[in-house]
Amino acid sequence: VNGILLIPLAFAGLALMNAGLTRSRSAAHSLMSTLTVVAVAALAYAACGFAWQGFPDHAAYGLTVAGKQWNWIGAGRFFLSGLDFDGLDSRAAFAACFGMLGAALAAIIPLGAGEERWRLSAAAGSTALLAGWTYPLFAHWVWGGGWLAQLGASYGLGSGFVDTGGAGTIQVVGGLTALSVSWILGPRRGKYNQEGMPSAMPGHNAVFVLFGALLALLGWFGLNSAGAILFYGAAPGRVALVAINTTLAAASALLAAALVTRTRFGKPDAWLSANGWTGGLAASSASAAFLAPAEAIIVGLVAGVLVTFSVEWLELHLEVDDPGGAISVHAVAGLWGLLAAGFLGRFPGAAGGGQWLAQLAGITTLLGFVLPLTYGVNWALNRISPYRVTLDGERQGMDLHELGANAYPELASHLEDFTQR
Amino acid sequence: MTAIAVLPSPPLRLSFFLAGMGVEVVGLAVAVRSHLPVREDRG
Repeated sequence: VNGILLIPLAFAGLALMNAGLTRSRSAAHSLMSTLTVVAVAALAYAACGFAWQGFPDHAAYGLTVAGKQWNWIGAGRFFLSGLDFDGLDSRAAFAACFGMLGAALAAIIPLGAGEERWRLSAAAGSTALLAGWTYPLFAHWVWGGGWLAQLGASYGLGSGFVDTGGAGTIQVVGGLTALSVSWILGPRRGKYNQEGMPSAMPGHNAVFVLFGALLALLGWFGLNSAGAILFYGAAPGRVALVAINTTLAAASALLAAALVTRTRFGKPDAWLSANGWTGGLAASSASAAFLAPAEAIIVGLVAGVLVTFSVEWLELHLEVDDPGGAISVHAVAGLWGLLAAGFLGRFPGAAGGGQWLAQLAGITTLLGFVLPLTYGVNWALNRISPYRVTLDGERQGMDLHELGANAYPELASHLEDFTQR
Repeated sequence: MTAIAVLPSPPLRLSFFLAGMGVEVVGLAVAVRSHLPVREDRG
């Protein structure tokens, strides 16, 4: 469970990837946004998030339908009060720590989609609602003894909806928020021409992106091992299997993405391969502790291919401008991981053979409930305080416009500044 | 969700569930299309 302490390395990894995938004029803003959303998410989750997420056998509100309990939201105390940090029942305290770091990680994901045009204060407001409401609500259903987790005991659907390391609760919730934010913000200025054809806007630092992907692996060791032990009772000895499967999923996803891009473009694409690697990590989070290593390779291979095509499809056909690839990496690969867990995973305490149906129930809930919820919340916030930076700010770069200083002062002049004069 | 809660027969439950998913897919397609920019010069 002490693997929880590795999770902040996933923050660092994603932060570096997001910063590297932006243009140089917005690099400092990208990292500052990450620090800000981590801060806001931690506060919001501690204030009310864990109270609503709850923990199995803790107080919760539920409905009774056809004689079965449908537990829908926790009824804990605000500001983490009442948690036993010293006693024998410290699992809830560990769950609160895991949840706080998970909420912060989920909040970093939408930043990748909103790069170069999402105002800092708007991102902070959006994060407060994500970490204080949307994330805890779904986390309660999955990890707090809520109705998705109860599908196994109540209706014989395997072990109920299973998500051992947050493929759905962290990755897909963050990825669907990224999609909502991208829709609300619209594409970056100059991204699409009059005919709707996208132009390339390469990131400014491939080294950040590739090193960030490596760093993220360490964070995912923490996510996947701590989640499986805390919420699904995996034996601590399974940490070795988690580390093997997490690495295999990321490795096979990277190779799949590199192979696809090499076949299509003649050379392996470093940016897309790094995104494939992270997509493999996201997909592994659904069931890394309960897969055979060969199955983890399958999960990773499919995730790598999916990420590669999804990035292109979103950009080219749906005109969704997602500079960090957050939607493909976290939402698409995460959903695949959840589905694969239904067919490949062997979970403890499974009652009946309906595991895949339980996973489908979770996936439909994410797409049919969480997506409209997070879109609605962000849409309302955007009406109160517009998300998008002004045209001048976008032209100037987010660093100078919002922070007053560039990340790279020696590169302070931009091409568009010259063309305007 | 309703199918899981009230239909005990697995085939019936699955059919109802898949029909619900179909409706959801249609809803998602409408949501995606509504976010595509409108261009007057497109045929």
